[in-house]
Amino acid sequence: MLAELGLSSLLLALAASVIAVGAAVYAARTDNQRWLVSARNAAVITFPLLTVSTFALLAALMTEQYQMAYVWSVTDLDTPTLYRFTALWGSQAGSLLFWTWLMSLFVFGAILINWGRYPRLMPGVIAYTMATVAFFIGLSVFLENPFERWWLDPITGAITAAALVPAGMVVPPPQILAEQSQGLNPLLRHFGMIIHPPMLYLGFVGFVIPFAFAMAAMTSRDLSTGWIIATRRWSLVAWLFLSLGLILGGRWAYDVLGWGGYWGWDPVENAAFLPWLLGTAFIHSVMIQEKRGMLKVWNLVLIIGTFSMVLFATFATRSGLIESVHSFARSEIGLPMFLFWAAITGVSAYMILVRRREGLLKDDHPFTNILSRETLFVLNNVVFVALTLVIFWGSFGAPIISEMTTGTEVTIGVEYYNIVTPPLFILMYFLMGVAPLSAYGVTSLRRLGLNILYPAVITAFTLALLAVTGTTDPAALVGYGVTFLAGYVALWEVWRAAQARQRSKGESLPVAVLALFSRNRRRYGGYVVHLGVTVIGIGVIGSTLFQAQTERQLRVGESLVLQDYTLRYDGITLATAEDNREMTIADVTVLRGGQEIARLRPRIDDFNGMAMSIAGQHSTIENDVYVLLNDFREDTQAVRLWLYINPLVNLIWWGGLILIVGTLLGSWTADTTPQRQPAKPVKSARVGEGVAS
Amino acid sequence: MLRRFIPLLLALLFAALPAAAQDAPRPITYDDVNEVAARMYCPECENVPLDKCFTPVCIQWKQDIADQLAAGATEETVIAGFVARFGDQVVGVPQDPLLRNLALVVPVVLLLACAVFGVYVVYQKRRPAVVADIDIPVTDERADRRYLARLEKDMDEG
Amino acid sequence: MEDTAQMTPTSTPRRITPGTLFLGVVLFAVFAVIGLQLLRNNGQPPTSGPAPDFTMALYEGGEFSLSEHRGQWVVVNFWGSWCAPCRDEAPELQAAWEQFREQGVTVVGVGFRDVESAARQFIEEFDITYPNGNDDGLRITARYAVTGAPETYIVGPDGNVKAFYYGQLPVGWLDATLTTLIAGGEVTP
Repeated sequence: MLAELGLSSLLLALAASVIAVGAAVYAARTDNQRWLVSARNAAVITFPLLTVSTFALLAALMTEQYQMAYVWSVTDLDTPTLYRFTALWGSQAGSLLFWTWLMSLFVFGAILINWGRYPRLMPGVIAYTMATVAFFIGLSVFLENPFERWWLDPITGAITAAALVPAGMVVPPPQILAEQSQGLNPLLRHFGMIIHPPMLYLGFVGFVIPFAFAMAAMTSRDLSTGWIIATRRWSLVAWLFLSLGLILGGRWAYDVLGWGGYWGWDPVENAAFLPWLLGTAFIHSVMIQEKRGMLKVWNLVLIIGTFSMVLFATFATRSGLIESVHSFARSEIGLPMFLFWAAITGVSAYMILVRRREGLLKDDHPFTNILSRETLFVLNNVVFVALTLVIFWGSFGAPIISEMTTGTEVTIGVEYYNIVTPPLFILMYFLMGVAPLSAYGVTSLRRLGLNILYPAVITAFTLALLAVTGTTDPAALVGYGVTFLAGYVALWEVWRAAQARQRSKGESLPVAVLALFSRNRRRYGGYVVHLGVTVIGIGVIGSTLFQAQTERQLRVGESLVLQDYTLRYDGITLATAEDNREMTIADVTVLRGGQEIARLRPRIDDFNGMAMSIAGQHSTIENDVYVLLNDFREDTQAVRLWLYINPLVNLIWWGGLILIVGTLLGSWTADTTPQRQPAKPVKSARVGEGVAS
Repeated sequence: MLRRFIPLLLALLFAALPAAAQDAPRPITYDDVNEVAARMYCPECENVPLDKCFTPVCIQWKQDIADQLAAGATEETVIAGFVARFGDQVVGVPQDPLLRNLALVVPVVLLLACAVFGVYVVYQKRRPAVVADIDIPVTDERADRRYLARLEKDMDEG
Repeated sequence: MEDTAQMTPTSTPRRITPGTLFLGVVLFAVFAVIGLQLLRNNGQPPTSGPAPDFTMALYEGGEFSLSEHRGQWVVVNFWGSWCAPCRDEAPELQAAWEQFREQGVTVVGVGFRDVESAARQFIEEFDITYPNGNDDGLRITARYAVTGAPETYIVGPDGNVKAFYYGQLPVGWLDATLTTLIAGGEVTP
């Protein structure tokens, strides 16, 4: 019943999305409003239809419909309710439906909100968003159908999965199906996994909105800032979710994967990081176009690049292009996804070239000064693009080309990224510090110098303090230097503006700060985000450069010592959890300077032979004492413990929180009412310019 | 048996160079093994460094590293031995000169291309403008007003 | 939507700038490389047709080359001393070797991700006398798309794969399969 409901709703959604694309294209060609309304209606109905499908699958998971192959493959009789819920995105078919559903949610919102405001862009917006949605629904229907059920051939006894009842087949005995069901991948049984994939997916799919608006602007030749203003908040929301997804992913890895770190430069992690990098460049770069009418080509390149990387990341992780811990098993959706990615990217790039040649993407102002804000923003773009390219090369370029040309499989690991990315990150933080201080148009070196003087002095003071207290590693000092500078600049700018208001308007400091934030939330929200990124940067530098670790075999009562920490192994506890995992828990006491500071319980969870090491952690702002249980010998009761001291790692999570607050502040802007565009497109301009080129 | 001794001989050769090296054999600790293993990747659990990998293959490999270190091999010879046996995928950046250059030179070229492109974008579109150098200390009240005016303008623009 | 198509006939064709050409070529190259990789990745292990040839050094000295055993039945077994099922099936392979070598059957073990000392110990422990070597650089296993051990292929005298088994060989499988194949029968996987 649920399978039929979900499937039919999915088919209707496919039909609706295809109709929406067709009607939107026809409406654009004929300038026919009625077709456009039809396109909108078809587009808007897709979301409720997909909602029915998604909830049908969810209901099937919750009510244990093991005849459905997807339910059978990700849950079993022992699965607790919470993980029945997360099983929705626990494997390919379900997560694909979930992904598409989230995308249709964004599309639904964007079309309804912007319908009246940007009539000229609407045909293109509907066509591009719905084409993407239709493609993904198509994958769900034809290749990764989550509503397939098991069928038994009563004559041969063969069991097959099919969405529709094959002729002559019957429902297999439910008892047997239930007993043989698979259960969720143990790695996904963690709180972080409940929230990390939805966040990441929301971040990914959200970028379809600015992308579609950009493409609509190009197809309609309305290349004013309309598309940017319309999508400003959508971009920020997508960026926020993507940031959250990355940070939560790091947290999940830190807690569950048991390698003492949060980022492994794994191709799949990198694949999600690539759209973040280009998206970050984009949300900065569009401000220049809004204010100065410059960087038009750049902004189109960046948003198309961002969305292209979103599609690429989805494709790379779901097709088995590169093997990885996180990727879904290899499947036949690889080729269609590749073709879709290549087509979208190719068509978009071609459109930019065409419009550029027509002269529609000319900047309103030239670059006047090498230290102007525009110029620094271009440099910032270049740094982000450079990071994207080298990470792309390391994750996909080099391994693929090596295997293809020499037949040798290679791994491009942490070593590569530690060589290639630090200079770029240093440059990124440096620009993050300097750019906000420069003015639009013209900035003299002297003025910039004066602006940066105080933050620079405070930074120098901080570094001196660090050096005196024992941080003498030059790499760390350079890293801390640029990071602190960026943070101090953010604080300084708020403080200085508040001071100026205080002096000229006689406001008190809190009032002045509040006034600033309410006057220009984007600017000051941005500073808060910068502060968050600074805090993250400090955490990353500290935990990367100063991590200490040791692994030892201990008998009951024995201790190991690392820095001024002592770890004593007190004994072992064996237990079985609710979902039937066998837990081997080591009881460990952490002492510092002879004082007991924590009792930790690192453990090994065994899910029917698949083991997972869960760390015991004692977290403070200063550091994490992170203990892994690597081995337990029943005969001697001896354990192998791996102790990590991860300095400042908590700043990463706190920085993430600041970043969220800042982004919310910045995107919660009181609506800047855009000028209503003329309802009818200016036809003559279209034709005229087309011919002229 | 000869093959087994080649790394050992090499190790002895390397160890002989600095005369002070290894007077008394030191027991090999997990940390010694992890230090080497952290630079390696196992082909079974791709992209997970060997030290963080606990599958049967990884455990066996780490035991082998311990044995080799105990026999006096250096970090480099151990890794070279593994690369010879299992190919370049066991290290973070390939050791084969051609592949190593492919992996490391291309990003440098990419970076240079980006830098050149950035400079090109700015310079090509650049028009000289009169730089109005404002020679007023920031704390001055007039500077405050100027700054505030600029801020207000920025804010009104968006 | 694609109104660009409409205008091309009327617009005078302009020279493509070197920059545009360069970007186009780069983009195309990226697509081509990734597309090819994707198609290659979909390559399946050789479950029929010619068995990929290989040559490897043997632990006991000398070399083994598959193509030199044309005209014989060859059982190619991918194994590792770290793999528990490999331990269980080792006696079975040794027995088959002893039983069928008179009838022109060769058994060869290809070491998969195995360190040398442990591999030698394994061979000693199970008194294995059929030729064994290591897949240096993991090139052979790549050609056979081996993902885990054990995997076993039976290559016919014509050099084609006649039978294969992934995972631990069921007791008696090798015996029965070889008997059927030598007698001229077919084995369906």
